[in-house]
This record gives sequence, structure tokens and C-alpha cells, in this order.
Amino acid sequence: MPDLQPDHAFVYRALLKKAYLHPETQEIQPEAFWRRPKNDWLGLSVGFTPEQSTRPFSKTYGVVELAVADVYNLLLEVVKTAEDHANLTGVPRRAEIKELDELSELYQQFRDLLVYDTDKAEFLARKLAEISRLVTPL
Amino acid sequence: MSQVEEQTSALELLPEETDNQVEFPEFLPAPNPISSLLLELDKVMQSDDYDEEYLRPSAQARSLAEELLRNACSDEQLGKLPHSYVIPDGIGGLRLRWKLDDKEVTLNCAASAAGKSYIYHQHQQEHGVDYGVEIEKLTAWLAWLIAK
Repeated sequence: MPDLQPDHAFVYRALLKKAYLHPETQEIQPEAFWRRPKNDWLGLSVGFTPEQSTRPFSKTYGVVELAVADVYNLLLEVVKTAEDHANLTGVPRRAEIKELDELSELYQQFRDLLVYDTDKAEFLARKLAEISRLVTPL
Repeated sequence: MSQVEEQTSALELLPEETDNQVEFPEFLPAPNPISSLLLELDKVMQSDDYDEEYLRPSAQARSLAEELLRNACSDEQLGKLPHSYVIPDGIGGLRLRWKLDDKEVTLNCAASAAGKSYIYHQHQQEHGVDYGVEIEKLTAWLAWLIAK
């Protein structure tokens, strides 16, 4: 059984690229919620605190907060994988990264779990950006 | 109207210069010519945000974006378009996003001719991806974006 997070919880995602935040409007860009090629095999990584979300990365450009209830409203799930980490699951990968995925040694291990759907990935990325709130400025 | 009167009227429409800034009257469309969009593309390409996992947009992606922009947008259409946000796709492609009210059009130019470029559109809960990017398709989607 997946360890689903309760409705009242909040999770945090690090912004790994400068471009994910519009420099003038501070609007969070949907690309921040794409699954990366050769990575993010089980979902979009989130932490339970802003610090947990940035810890694995040498450089980040902010942190966004998502209410778990809002995520569930999009028919996605937030599955705890460790004390300091969860995966936001149900967001497909863009079809454009499939060839890059196949270059990874880990691809065979995860291939049966991977769904490629550019339209849905684009749409859900916008919805996730809409329900996100910037909590750590640049 | 005489030619002299016409010239006078046209001059009145020109933006007033104040010190080093040019102020455009509100009734004139904001300046958003192709050249400023191309500068945006170059700025994104020259960013220092890239690494082995987050790839710099390719020259082919930029060429495709430029070709489409130069040919898909009339001056009139450009005047009505909102400012475009240019963002890399992280795998060598370039994206240009236009948002107006609750509509959006995003052009995704692939890194190479072998890659699939597409136009994503969304209006509230309706959305879709249009592959096989051509000038006519971008023209049509931008016309859809600015249509009332």
C-alpha cells in the first residue's frame, strides 16, 4: 500500500532553474513540474519542509509549497518514500524525453511504470503551477 | 484631409520622448516587434543556467523559432499579442509562451529536425497538442489566442 500523505499536509518542491520563475511577474512556470529525462522515475520529488526539498541540490532558485488536498483534487497522489521525501505521482512524462530515458541504465528497471503523454503532462504542469505558492524568494 | 494635415496627425501619434525614455501612449500597442523577440531568444540561449542534464537550446531550435516568428505573425497580429515568455525545454529546444486572459499558446521548437516540435494550447479545461509545426498552424493558433 502506498503511504499517502494526509489532506491537511503541505509539501515543498525546489525550483532548480532560474527560468522556472518569471523574472518580472514571479509567476511559477509549468516547466518546474515536468519530470526530467533519465530521472524522476517514480514521480515529482517533494519534501515535507522547504529545506528537505533543496537539500539534494547544490543550487536552487526558490521553493514552492503545495497543499496536498489541492494535489488530490487534480487526481494525483503524494506518496511518502522516506522521512524527508515524497513523490507526487500521476503526472506522465512528455513523449519528447522517451529517447533520452532509453539511454539510461535505469530505464529497463522502470519502463513498465512509465507513461508518456505530452498533452496531459503540459496540462497537469500548469495546474500544479497554479496551486503552488512561492515560499522562498530568489 | 490634405497631405500636410495627414503628416501632422501621424506626428501626434508618435511617442513623446522624455529624457532617455520613450513613452508610448496607452492607445498604441506596446512595442513587441520580431526583433525584441529574437533578442529574447538570444538572451535565453546565452544564459549560464545550463549543464549536462539541462541542455542549452540548439541553433536549429532557434532557427525554427525565428523562421516561424518572421512568417507567422503579421505586424497587426504582433501588435495584439501579449509579451511572450521564452524558456528552454531543457533538452535542447526552445519554448515561446503567449498568455491572454484565460487562453494560452506555447510553441515548442525541438532541438533538431528529428525531434517533434509542437504547439500546445489551453483554454480553461480544454487543451491539446498540435504536432507538425508549420507557419500556417502558428498563425492560426495565435489568431485563436487574440480572438474575442
